[in-house]
Amino acid sequence: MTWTRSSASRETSAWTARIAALVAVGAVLGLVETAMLPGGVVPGVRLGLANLAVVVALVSLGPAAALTVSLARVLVVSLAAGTIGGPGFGLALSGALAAWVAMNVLQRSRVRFSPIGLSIAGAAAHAVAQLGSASLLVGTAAPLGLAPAALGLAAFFGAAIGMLATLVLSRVPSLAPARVGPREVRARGAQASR
Amino acid sequence: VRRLPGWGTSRRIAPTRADVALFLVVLAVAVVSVPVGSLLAGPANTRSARVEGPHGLTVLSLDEDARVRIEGARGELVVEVSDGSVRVVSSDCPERRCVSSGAVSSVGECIVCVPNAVTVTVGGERGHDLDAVVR
Repeated sequence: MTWTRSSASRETSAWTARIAALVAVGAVLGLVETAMLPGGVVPGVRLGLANLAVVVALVSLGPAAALTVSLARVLVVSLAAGTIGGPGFGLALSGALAAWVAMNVLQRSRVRFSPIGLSIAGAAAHAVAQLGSASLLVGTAAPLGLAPAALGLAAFFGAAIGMLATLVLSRVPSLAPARVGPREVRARGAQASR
Repeated sequence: VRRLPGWGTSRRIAPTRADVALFLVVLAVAVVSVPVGSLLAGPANTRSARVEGPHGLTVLSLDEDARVRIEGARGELVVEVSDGSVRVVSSDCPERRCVSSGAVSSVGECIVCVPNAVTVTVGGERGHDLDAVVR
């Protein structure tokens, strides 16, 4: 396939627009979740609705897009909530980064995981990273004592969010995996599927 | 980017075998780490009341009720521990502000009796109070 400049830039614009849409969805879902469950069942455990946007981005647009969506969402929500730069911001950032790393590793592995598996891994990594960095901040290992409960809930919440992501991905044509994205993303997708 | 299993043919949610395995592994890790977790969490309440004054330092555990007499600079104070909180019951001082301070129980709270030069401070590990909320 030959790429003219105009079609390439059009592809890139479409890719950027999808990332922006997913950032918006992620930010809103995060705020909805905060309003729904103030405090949460166990500190450090959340339903992880916002991770829906990241999982969808990872599967349909690739790891770079997922990282962008995840970090931009944390930034937007922290800015809106006024917690930017505070301890809560560090916790949110560590959770988001750990979740992205875990999901990325699983997606690249030779074992075949569906979005459900990716989401479970993301939720578990998010919980452990948040409790771990909370321990570092507090200076005692006490927050890590919540890890068993957090992990158990993360398995269920992660699976639920993964199922939602599967449904979204199979019903939104413009988010069909490996159909959108700039040339390099598509090339990487083609390599991965080989 | 990998295609979804079943993409284009079925709209059912189809977890792969790896998904199920991962789910079970995470659950298993959670169950196995329960004893480690409770070890790390430590005893929930290790608070104590530190009574400092001219007599020196007296440390009372907040877990068991107690009533002690403390020798102050101008007279005697009676300090009482009950239901996990500590208060000054009576004091030989003019205004008895220490008595009207009431009971304290959270780590860092204190009662001061200036005339007797006695302070009662709650010490110990911080509890599970929230001090940051992640959004």
